[in-house]
Amino acid sequence: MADSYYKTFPARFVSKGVMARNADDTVPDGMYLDMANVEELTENTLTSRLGSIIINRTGNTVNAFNAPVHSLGRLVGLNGDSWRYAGAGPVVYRRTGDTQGAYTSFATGMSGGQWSEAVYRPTQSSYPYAFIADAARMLKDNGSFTAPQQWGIFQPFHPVQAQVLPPEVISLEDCTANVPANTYVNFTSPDNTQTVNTTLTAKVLGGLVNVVTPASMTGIIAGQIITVGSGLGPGPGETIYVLSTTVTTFTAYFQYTHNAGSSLFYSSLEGGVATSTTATITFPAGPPSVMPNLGIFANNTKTQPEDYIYLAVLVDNPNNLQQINLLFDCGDGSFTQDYFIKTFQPALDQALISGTETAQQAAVNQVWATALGITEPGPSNPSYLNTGNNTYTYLTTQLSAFASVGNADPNSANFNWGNVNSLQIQIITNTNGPVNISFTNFFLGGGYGPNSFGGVGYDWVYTYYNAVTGAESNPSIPMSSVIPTTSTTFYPARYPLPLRQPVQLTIVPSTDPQVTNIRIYRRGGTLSDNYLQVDEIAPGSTSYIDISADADIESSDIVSFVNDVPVTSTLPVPVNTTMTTALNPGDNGGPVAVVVEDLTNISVHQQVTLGGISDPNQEIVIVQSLDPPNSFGAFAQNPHLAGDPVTAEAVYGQPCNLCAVAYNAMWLAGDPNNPHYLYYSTNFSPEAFGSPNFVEVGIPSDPITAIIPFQGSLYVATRDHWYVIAPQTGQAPTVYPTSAVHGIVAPFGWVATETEIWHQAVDGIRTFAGGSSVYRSQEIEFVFQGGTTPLVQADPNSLDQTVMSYWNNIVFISYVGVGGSRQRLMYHTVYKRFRNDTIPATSLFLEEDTNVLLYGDANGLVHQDRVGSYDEESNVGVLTNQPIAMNLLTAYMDQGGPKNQKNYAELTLDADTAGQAMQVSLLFNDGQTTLPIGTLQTTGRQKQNFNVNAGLGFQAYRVALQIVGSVSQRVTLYQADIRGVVLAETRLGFDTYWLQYGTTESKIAKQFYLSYNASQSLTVNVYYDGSSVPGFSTTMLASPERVSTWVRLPAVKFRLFRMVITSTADFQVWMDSKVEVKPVCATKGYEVMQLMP
Amino acid sequence: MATGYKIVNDILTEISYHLVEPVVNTTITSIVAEGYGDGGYGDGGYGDAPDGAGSYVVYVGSLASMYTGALLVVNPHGANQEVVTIIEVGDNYFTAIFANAHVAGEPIAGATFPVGESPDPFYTQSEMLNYVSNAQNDYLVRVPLIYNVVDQAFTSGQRTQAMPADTIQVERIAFGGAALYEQGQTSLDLLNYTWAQQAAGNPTLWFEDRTGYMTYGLNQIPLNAFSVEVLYAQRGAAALGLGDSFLLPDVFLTYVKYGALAEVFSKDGEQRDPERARYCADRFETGVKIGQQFYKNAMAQEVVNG
Repeated sequence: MADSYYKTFPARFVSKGVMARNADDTVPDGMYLDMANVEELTENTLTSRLGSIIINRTGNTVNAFNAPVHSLGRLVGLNGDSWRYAGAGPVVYRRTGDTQGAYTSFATGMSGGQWSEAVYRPTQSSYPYAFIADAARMLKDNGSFTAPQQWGIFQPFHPVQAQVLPPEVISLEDCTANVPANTYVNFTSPDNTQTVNTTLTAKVLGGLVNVVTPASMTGIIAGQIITVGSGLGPGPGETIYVLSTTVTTFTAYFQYTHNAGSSLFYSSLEGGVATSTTATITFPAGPPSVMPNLGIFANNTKTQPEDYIYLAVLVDNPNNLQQINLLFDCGDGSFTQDYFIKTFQPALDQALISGTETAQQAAVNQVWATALGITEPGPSNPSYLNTGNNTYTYLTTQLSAFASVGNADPNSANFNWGNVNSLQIQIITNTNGPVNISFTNFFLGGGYGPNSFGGVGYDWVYTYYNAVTGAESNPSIPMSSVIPTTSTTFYPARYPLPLRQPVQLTIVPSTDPQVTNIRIYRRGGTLSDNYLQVDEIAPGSTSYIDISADADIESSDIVSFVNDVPVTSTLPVPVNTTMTTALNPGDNGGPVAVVVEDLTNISVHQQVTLGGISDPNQEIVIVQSLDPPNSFGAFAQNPHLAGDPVTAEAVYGQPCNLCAVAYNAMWLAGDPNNPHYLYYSTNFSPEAFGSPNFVEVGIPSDPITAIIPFQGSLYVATRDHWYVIAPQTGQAPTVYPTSAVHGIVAPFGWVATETEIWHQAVDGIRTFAGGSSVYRSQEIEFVFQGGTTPLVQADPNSLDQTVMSYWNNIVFISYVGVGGSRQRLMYHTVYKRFRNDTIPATSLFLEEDTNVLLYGDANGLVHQDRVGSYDEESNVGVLTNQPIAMNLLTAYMDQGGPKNQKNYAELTLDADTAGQAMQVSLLFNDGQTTLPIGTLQTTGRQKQNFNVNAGLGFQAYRVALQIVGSVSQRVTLYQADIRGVVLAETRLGFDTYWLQYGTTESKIAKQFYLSYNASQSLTVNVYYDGSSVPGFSTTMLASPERVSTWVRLPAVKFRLFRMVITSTADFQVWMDSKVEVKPVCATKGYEVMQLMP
Repeated sequence: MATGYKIVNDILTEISYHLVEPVVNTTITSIVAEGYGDGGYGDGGYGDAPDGAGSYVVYVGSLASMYTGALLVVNPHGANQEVVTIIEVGDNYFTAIFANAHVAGEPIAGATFPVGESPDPFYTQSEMLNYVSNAQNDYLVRVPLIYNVVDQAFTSGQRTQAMPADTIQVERIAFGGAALYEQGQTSLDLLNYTWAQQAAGNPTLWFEDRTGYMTYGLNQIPLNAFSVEVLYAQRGAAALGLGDSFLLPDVFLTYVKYGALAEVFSKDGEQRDPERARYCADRFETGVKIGQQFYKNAMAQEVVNG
């Protein structure tokens, strides 16, 4: 090439995306060094990016939140309703519908960090709910709430307090308290004695269960009825039922109020029976005494076979008694045809105790009795008296224990218990001697369901229930069955033992507004295995009277203990402290302040164990309140001593900030105590997280950072790895590690497309699809791993704040750059290219149903992205349109001659700037020189020419084009043409290497012409035929301007020729430099040969 | 017998330039006897020289055109001029066996014809020496400018004698200071058919026919030993050495050079050039003619001058 000429180098604005990996002059064609706010709205052009509008504005008034928007969410309800959620600071905001306008504050007290949202339906409703998992609160909303509801329902703080109430009583007192009321045969000297004869020492209140301190407790036992005199008023006289006693008190339900001093009395019927005699007492003898109706109680409940006949019997010498028969005639009153009968005998070992029988014989009798089955309850079997002389045996005999004689039948129409017209007590003595006998406390009691006839007491629990969602809390702490040994207080049996008696339960309503009902569960009686639901009552109820029989509830639902509020979190350091003061909450328990040495890790709703494992008083209490520095409130049931241990192993209702729905269950992670735990709910019950419902994923030091349902499977990412979670029917799910060794470092820096999960990994952007992860940010690696790039590099300490979304085949990645600014990268999954913009998205969210991409910013604004050609922003609360700041920087182009300088003289841009001015610059040699060359401003697509350096051009190896401008209308860049001339290569050395000039024959070089520029002199050495010693050397003068010089060469015959030129400074050798060469053979002349062919 | 100043290397150097072959043209910077290692006993190192007695290491200003086996003329035209054969070429020296003593500053020359020397030489030194030797003798044959006189001894009864080895042509044979007439044996037979049985006597005639190659005879021979004086046209050595002088005077050596170049350009090879060969042959023939004219004139002058 003799001379260089200008040439136009065209470049269409084809885009293969932005590059931040290669040296800036080795960027592949179509890639750019910076595409800030530039995108490819039309292929093979570059345009300004799409703009955005503000969602939370009303007209021109911007309703910004007070904090950066860190989270966005959405709920689409049935019937087309929708709600938008935004998290800004510790507040969740909500807006109904998809229009622009102000959000309303919906929930406060959030953590202030990012939260997760999962839409699912509650347990028993198809109404969609938004479940929001936050590090401070776990919420749910169905769009209609004025305030969010707790995710799950906390269990009651208090256990049930149960109080047995008196049964319905049909008194037969007239028989035992009124001698003339009976007809006597062989029953000598009948008389009445008051077995209870005392007074009230204090006023008792009607309608309540009173603990009464009488003047004397003589003759007062539990299960006894006592008559309260009416003389002192104010209430009328009544018969009360003694529920329980202590040494000095008894408890009873009083229907009426009675003043102190009112009499308490009850009578017995006494008499004698001679040896070997059958005596009878028949009631009623006649008017005014009448037989009460034993078929129905006062509460209009029919008597049932389970109801009881109460009768207390005292025998002075039971060894002389053969038996007592109790007969109820429901026929003709003859006690021979149709009646119910029950036999009572002295105890089997009565003769032994009385000394009339040997021990051996007594044993034989016992064995026989047992073998015959007559010791078992039953109509045909007798009941037995106590063994002592002159002591009452309080007999409680179920109606079903009476044998039916004749037509007597509890279920018959005419011979049932309601048809009983008289009763008879038969006393039969044996030959041992006569007896004196007393009867008292004679009545029919019952009428209610609870029945501990088998000796099994009852206890209750209760739950809070949301009938709208079907969510139910875990039950209250079970009632204590402990008979404390460490208290001076007398504790009766802790579990009530009702005998067809109602039981009044005291419960505490929930303060959770979502609770619509309280569910009562019971165990005991004949159903002692599980707590069965008894009833479902109003949410504000503070008490409940249980009258249900076991048979009524035997098919009821069993209480669930796996309805933990998400989540029950094992403490990394369990609570292990001691009480510093003793507790004595009383026999029914009560709220107490538990004073401990150390309140660390004790929290509200926590189940705390009071007492050591060997302590019979050990119990679990629920922490209801904290009273720092060393006390908490709870309901305790048992007494405890100072120094007793206080322990706890878990936090209850520990919020988590990661959630997802998969496999018909809700999954949670983000537990700060157990960062590698993956919690899961009961299937189809997204609020029930039983404490065993978790699996460990990896190790604690590699926390779970994302839960991602993807392509039918559930994947869990930790910071360093990926796992797949396989459900197991009836068992804990199985965790399988994948081969990926790069996890997600940003808990919200991921997005699942149809084919892969894009995520922020520690080394950049990666995708995962079930196997190994794929490194996707190779082209922009400098953003995440350092390197020289105009793009803002990611702050390696803030990678965990990256957020992502996916819209229209584009993955949007917002990261925190060095210096703290938010930057975005967009990857087009079809065109497989990145670009960048400066939208400061602190959160990203795709509304899948409307395909609307939202983002939040640090100014408390929620934007809809991809709208218009400018960004709506707030100027002190007033809407303003913010132009988009384009900055396009091409790669440094060397026009195919990286070693040649070019003289760039002209630039032509083909663009439509919509009349807007944009500044055009040429950057030379990696930005060593930036040369503004003019303003690009076109209306419609036009070509605009620019001169470089007033037409003289600029010499450089490579050139980049930069176009910047703030635009509010779409700018389209079509093509750039730069005109330049390629100059000779600059060099410090020039070497032809060994040349044979077209023939292997020997040749002679006569002379050469060297065209060059050199700032310093050149040293020219000519070598022949492989010699390392120059065959010719010369020096050429420095010439900054191009010069052509002729040099004569020596007569040297050679086959190979080499010229080496060196200098101390860069020089250029032009292509027209040549040498004249002639082969030595005959007939051939000199030819001109290029030094640089 | 040298009749001029130039030695063979001078002519070959000129030929080298014609053939665009570089030549050795340097000086000795130092010379030391060869030995093992540097320093120590002896001048150049320890013990005997590895290349044999008389081997020296010669440090020179330039090693250009030197190669192993090449012949060099050390101190040409000097009193201690000698031709040595390069045994080894080092970085800045060569080794060779020397017969004479040399000192730094003495020139070293050599038309070594180094181009393509190994493995594809255009020309070899021995080849070029032959070309020059032949060219000189060819010229002398065509122009017998050089004569030599020698006495040749005969033993008793010896009739024939070999001519001197460098004889081109015998011009005169004298016995006892008197020139003998040259006669053929046939003529002698016609004169006296028993001449060969004649009694001893001094020779009067000499002949060279039917006596074998390069042999002459006498018609009569004395009884005892005797000698004759032979005058003959002399030729040069059949194989000249690089340091040898020419029989021909320097003015005729131009034609010797072209005679040699005619052979060179006729040689089949890369530099074969029939046109140049013909040109050089013409220059040689011109030289011969000039020489013959010179010879003729010289002889005529001799005749004229008696």
